Amino acid sequence: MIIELKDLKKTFKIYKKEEGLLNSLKSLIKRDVVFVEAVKGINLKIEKGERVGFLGPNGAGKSTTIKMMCGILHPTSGDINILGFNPLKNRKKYVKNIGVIFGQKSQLWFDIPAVDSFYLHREIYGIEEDIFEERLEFLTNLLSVKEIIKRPVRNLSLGERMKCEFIASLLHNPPVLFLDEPTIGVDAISKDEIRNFLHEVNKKFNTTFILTTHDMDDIEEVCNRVVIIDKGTIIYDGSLKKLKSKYVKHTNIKIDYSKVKNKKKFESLLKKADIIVDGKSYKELKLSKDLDINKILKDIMSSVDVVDLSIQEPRLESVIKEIYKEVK
Amino acid sequence: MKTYLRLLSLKISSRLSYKLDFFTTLISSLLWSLASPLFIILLYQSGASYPDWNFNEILLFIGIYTALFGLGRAFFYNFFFNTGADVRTGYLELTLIKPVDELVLLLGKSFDWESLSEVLAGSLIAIYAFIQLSLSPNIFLFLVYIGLALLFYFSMILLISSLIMKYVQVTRLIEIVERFMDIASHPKNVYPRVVQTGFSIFIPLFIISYYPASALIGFELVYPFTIILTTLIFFMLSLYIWRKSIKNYTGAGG
Ligand SMILES: Nc1ncnc2c1ncn2[C@@H]1O[C@H](COP(=O)(O)OP(=O)(O)OP(=O)(O)O)[C@@H](O)[C@H]1O
Ligand SMILES: [Mg+2]
Repeated sequence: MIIELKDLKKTFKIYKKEEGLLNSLKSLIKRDVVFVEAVKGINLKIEKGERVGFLGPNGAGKSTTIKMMCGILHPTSGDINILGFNPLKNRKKYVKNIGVIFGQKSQLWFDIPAVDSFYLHREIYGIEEDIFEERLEFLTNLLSVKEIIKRPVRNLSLGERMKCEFIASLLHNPPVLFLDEPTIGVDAISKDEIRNFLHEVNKKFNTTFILTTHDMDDIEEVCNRVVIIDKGTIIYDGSLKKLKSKYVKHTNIKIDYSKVKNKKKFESLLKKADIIVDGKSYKELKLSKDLDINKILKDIMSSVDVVDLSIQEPRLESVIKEIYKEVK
Repeated sequence: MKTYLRLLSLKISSRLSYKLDFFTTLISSLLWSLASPLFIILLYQSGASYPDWNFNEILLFIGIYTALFGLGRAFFYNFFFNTGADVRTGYLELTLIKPVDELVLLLGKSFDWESLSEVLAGSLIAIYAFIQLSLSPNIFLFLVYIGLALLFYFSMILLISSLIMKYVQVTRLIEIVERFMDIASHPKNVYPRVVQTGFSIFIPLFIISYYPASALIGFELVYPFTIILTTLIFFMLSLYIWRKSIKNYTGAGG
């Protein structure tokens, strides 16, 4: 186990700010305080090489949890142990072992080419020259950005810049990579490239990922474990498959048919389902998970002449929506 | 240290990508700083003077003050603004995930080349006056004072930067602090005793002008070690407050 969080809590103290000079002066002396419990006791264990996706509605406490794991924020209470470190006790040593990407903030210098930022990175992390060159080569090839890293960052598109951010955060080969909304604002193709890239990196170096995102495809394609956080607590922790089987209660079937062979059988079949679309030779059915889908499919085949038939599991997106609605 | 130097060179190269801007600011601020002793020249021409200071001595004083302030600005001034901006935008978070002391990174990012023109102007004035005076100075003490003066400037910046971390929108603070430090733009002995003692012992403000100038001119200094000690303590105190603020840093939402 390389990450362990024990009853982690963070409460923010917010000072209410008032308008006007006089009030600002007053607020220097006495300020109204509001407490925001952003994280309310999180317990989590993560093994090496796991790809964990943090999900949760806005303001759930995902970023706050990640920032505490990175050693940026000091927890109000609780314990963090990552790779044997307490991130706060020995911050400078600890952060050598992690990579961090905040989708909203760039760690590259804007006016110079990304590759110059990479060399600065080498200095900061004390990476040996040949190891550095080799990794840079590997990462730039994987993302096909050989030329792009030589252009000033301010001239790059968001997707191109994001790829450079990924390189910067992986140059020192950290065993753990934190990604807070890494694909925000990135187009579909670049997203695919980034996801493939993450797969490759995970395969080759067994890097552990912790990723937050609002894009369910990120989760479906990158993660093998999902942690859902709501109002500062974990409400689900497990594999993606289990999440679906737990929350998915229906299967949708679309049937396009030409002729009804066995009317009685077909009608009794329809009675078991919710009919969503009821066309003349087209039906869309919503079937409870409790039913034996294989048997139903057989019955359909034998009762009508099927032209086209498709089965649809609900997408993760709608599953998550259901969960968010439930907890609200 | 290597990291700091690398940051500086990156800083120039990113600044040089706006070449014209870089050089025009440099030249205009050089001219501006060279004009600073004009007031003193006029003052002494009209027959007035600072008590106990002759014209060349006061010129030396002003040269040193200008150069030191320039150095302070070059190294530390932007530190305050960068910290303020980084706190507001949450970019300080990125600084905290680097395996280097945050002060090194913030300082490296903050170097302001344009202020070197003040240093140049101040040095020219000081050197001119120094040659006119033909002194036999205590160079070692002078250098110690210069180091301490910079340390003091940095301490002030650390203090107000700590404040800005807590009260995010008070960027005017630096103006207040600079006006306050202007007190040091006149020799110590023009002020009442209380001020003299207060700004030597509690807040070692006079380290930034009076002490280094005196070391050169050879004024007898009462308790040179007091100011050395005070400046060091003052610095340690501000460093402590800064570290504490970093610890309490709450980041920006997201
Ligand atoms: N620096 C801060 N100061 C005060 N409150 C904060 C701060 N950062 C976050 N919060 C509050 O803590 C709660 C959790 O915020 P957090 O950023 O962790 O949410 P999140 O799960 O990352 O949401 P999102 O999906 O919108 O990014 C929110 O209510 C937020 O307002
Ligand atoms: Mg967030």
